[in-house]
Amino acid sequence: MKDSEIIDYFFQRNEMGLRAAAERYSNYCSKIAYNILGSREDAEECVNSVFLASWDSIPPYRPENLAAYLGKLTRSSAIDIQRKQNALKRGAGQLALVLEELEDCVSDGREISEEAEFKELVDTLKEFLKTLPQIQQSICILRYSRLEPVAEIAQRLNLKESYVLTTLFRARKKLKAYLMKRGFEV
Amino acid sequence: MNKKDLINAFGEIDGEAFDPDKEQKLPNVLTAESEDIVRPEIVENKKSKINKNPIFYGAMAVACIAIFAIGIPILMNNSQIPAETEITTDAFSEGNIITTPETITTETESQPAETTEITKTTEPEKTTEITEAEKTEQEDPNPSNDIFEVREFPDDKIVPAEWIPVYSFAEAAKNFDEIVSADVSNMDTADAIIALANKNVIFVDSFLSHFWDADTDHPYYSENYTNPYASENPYYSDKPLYPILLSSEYYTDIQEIYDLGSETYINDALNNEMNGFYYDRGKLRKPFMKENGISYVDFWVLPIWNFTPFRCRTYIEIVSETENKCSFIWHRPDWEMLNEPEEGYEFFYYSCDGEAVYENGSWKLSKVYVEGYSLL
Repeated sequence: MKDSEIIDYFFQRNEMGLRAAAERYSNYCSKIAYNILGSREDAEECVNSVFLASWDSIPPYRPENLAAYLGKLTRSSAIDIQRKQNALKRGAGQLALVLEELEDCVSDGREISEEAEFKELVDTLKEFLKTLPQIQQSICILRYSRLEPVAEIAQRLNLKESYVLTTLFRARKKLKAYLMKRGFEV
Repeated sequence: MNKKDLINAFGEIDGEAFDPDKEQKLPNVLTAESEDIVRPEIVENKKSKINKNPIFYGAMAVACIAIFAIGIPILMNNSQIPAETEITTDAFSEGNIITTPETITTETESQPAETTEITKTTEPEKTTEITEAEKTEQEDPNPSNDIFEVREFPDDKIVPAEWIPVYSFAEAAKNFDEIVSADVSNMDTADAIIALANKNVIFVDSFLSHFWDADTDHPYYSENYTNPYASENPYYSDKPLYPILLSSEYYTDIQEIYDLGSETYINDALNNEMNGFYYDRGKLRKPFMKENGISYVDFWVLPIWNFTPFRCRTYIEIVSETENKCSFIWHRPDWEMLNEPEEGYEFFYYSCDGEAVYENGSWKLSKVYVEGYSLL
């Protein structure tokens, strides 16, 4: 079933849409949740809440891209769960590590509230990623979107962990410069 | 903007390209077609073998020379592949260099039906004497390599050269001493800065690069191995820890770095690990020159990464100078390994600021920023 059909079912309040969404995206969302929470049980709970939240929010919201929307909901939900559990510590999941790494790029400034501003960030990030070799793009996405552990990325790509670490390190440095050059407050 | 925004932005890009029907494949966010870029095991096996086998380097050197001898004349006659030739002058006349960036099309092993365009910089192969007439003949007015096109510094070129394999750290260290032991007290400011920068790059780069290439099976990952740079490794709480991701450090005394370096490297395990890296012995004799008010340093970058068989010319630019303080810019190419060592390196322009102070009759670096791979 295509995403557009799934969303149509959501709008029709037909639960087939929910089942189809879960079938297509539960692995994707579970992986993100697990990487943040570090617990399969918590991840499962998180993903369930994500699909419920999507059911509640669609309609009226019609996401342009279902995967991106569900991924975003998953990250938000997992981060909330982790905050509630006060589990923001090393070993609990990848989020703390990723946040620490991203300090190389941005400080804790105000959160972007304007959709246009966020879109500009996304577009800039896309431009930046285009400057990287494809494998490095993948490494960045796996790490900073899906929050996969470095060791897992290295294994998946048949690379040394040190190469993945170095790539991420350099990418962050470059990204910071790239964002600054384009007027972002970092 | 904060970190969460950045993660969400990455997520947005990931989500846009995510295809649940191909979930096992890697995110391929910015290309038209999704493709599985996991390289086959054979590549990894080959890589790990050659990384640890010093014999490979000898074979590679011979092969490179052979390829060079046969290939360059062909390349020069082939209008489809632009070649950029650089001639070094003056103090560098010991070894004139050819750099041949090329854009090639290769078939990936995992997807023989598809082609992937990569930019590749050839590894250093041979030092060749070239006349000015030959230079004019060989220079390509429109080099296709982006790296060369985007560089801003007018004479900032990558200078690969003839590399000599070294099979023990001790042997290499002996030559490093020529740089390390240089007495800067009798040098003028520019030369002193260059000499200090060279000293610095040797040791700092050595430490960092070496750890980056850390092999988790290596003895220094054992609990019994101690290292003055050990710190907390965020990824393996149950293993000894090394500063793979240094943010910045500050040194005021180059001797301190040297002492630490010597202390660190006197270790059989490290000696073994260091087998097979390359450097150019001859170039050490003339590491600097001056031209139009700018001092040039021609040092080789210590290739502690198993595969960094190149070197580069860097430039020290004195920005301001008083009796006891000197500010400078260090112009240098930086490099990044492509997906596999065999694919070569991507080079790009890089510069950093530094400061030196004159104390007790000699210049010393007062600001040395170590930001991972960035040395000043």
